[in-house]
Amino acid sequence: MEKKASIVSLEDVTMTYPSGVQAIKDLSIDIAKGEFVFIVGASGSGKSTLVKLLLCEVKPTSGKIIVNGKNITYLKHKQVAAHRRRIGCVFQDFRLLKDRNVFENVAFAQKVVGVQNRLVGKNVRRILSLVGVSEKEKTFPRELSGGQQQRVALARALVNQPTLLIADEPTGNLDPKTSMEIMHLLEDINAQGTTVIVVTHDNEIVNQLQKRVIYLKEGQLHSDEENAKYVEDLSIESAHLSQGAFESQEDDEIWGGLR
Amino acid sequence: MEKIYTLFYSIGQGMKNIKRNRMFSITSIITITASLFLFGIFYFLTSNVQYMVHNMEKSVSVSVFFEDTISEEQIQQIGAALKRRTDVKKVEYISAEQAWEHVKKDMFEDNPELIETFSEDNPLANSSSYEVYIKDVSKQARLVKAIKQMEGVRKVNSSDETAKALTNFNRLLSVISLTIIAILIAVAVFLISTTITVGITVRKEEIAIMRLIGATDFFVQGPFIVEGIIIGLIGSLIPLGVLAILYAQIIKRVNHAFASLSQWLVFLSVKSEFSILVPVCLGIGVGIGLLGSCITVQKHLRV
Repeated sequence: MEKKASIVSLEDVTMTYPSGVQAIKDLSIDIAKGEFVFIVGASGSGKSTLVKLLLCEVKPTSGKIIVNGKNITYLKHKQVAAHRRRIGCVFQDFRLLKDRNVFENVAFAQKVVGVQNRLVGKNVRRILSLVGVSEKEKTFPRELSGGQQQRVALARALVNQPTLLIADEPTGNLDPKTSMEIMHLLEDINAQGTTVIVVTHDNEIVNQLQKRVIYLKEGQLHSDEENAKYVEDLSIESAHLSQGAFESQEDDEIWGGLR
Repeated sequence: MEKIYTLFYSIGQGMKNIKRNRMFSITSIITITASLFLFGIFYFLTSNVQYMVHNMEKSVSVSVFFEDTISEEQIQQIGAALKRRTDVKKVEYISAEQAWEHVKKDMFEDNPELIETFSEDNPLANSSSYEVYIKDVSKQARLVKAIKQMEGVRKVNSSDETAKALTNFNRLLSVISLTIIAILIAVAVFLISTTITVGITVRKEEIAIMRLIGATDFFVQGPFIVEGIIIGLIGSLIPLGVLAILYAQIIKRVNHAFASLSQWLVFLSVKSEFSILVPVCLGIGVGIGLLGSCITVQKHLRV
């Protein structure tokens, strides 16, 4: 079988935080262009760290990471911006700017990369209609439902036409019905050629969509199968209990790293 | 193209920051204005005192009198020796007759009848002298000492007290003003730094998103640097305007009020003062703004 060109490739990646927490251990993954992949695992399994590694927010302790054909393992600070422009990102908490309306939020992404003003309007409207929130252009984030906010966040992630879309727990704050809508939207985006990586611990959506599932456990690859089911062996309760302390610390690290 | 766009974006965003962050921006502007205003005042004082001292120096001279027994030849030798000295600017010979005429004019102008009592006798006979003009008044004492040691010199009269006092005053003024200005500049840098920190804190989320989308350092930091520069610029233009009006008024009023002292109170022109003050103030103001914002951006926006 001929191997498709890969867009993300990790070779024996290990990541240990300065605090001594080993978040990723000897992880090797290969994701081909145009794929739709779930990355699943309990809290603390290393999912968030994997996202950070792909975004160059943290650097691996050892191993090699290639994204978009470029070795980003030891990317210089100045090259990080260019790397991130080719990746779209959405998060559980949407991360929209509260003091700007929908149009401005999406246009902001274009401004950041220096798109000329006369092109911005056209691009933004096209992408807003793609994610289905065209009529909300002048609305502010607080006036939108969670699902709508995530659509706007998706529009912002896609407006610069990334080759790779990373969705980190995109449905974490949404009800099951809205979650499925967002997932179908992600499928549509994937159908148009963008590689999509969805990080989640929601087995409902993973099991319905029947995609490739990369299962992380304690920072290591537990399984990597096509059309796989995801059955979390930890109970939801204990996952949430351990989540509290660990993830709030992780969140600080996310924001700290971006500052 | 992207760079030019980012520059315009930074300027627009920087101005927005100032508006959004009004209280702190105004405080910073006031501090810079105050420090540069004081700087201007001290500059006026020191430059004018210096200028007046300089004018006085031109007229301050040392009078050299000779022994009664001295010959014309010796007088000429002394004159030549004085002229050879590098610290001497000009040597003028004043004969006894000239000296007497001078005194007559100075003291008896209003009572010409008193002069009659002296008839044709010159009371200042044997009082011919050299007027020695010195290049640098502060070195007068050395010159006086040297002249006193010359053969045939009876007495050296010098009136260096005024010049000395003024020079000392000016030095004191410079030290005080520089100290105050240094403190004020430090306060201004600190305040700008605080202003920018507040701006960064308020927009932390926005900055994080910018980074995520792939904003360059230039794009993220530009608005804050521009903010500092604009604050510095406004903070230096205000005192310059006020000082220009003030200085012209002061010169006018002082000259009017102390008309009798006009010989000594020669002020530098507004033009010559501001040809130095404008670039210096703009430089300091913008420098403070740049320094304050750069320090802060380095501290808070480093990855």
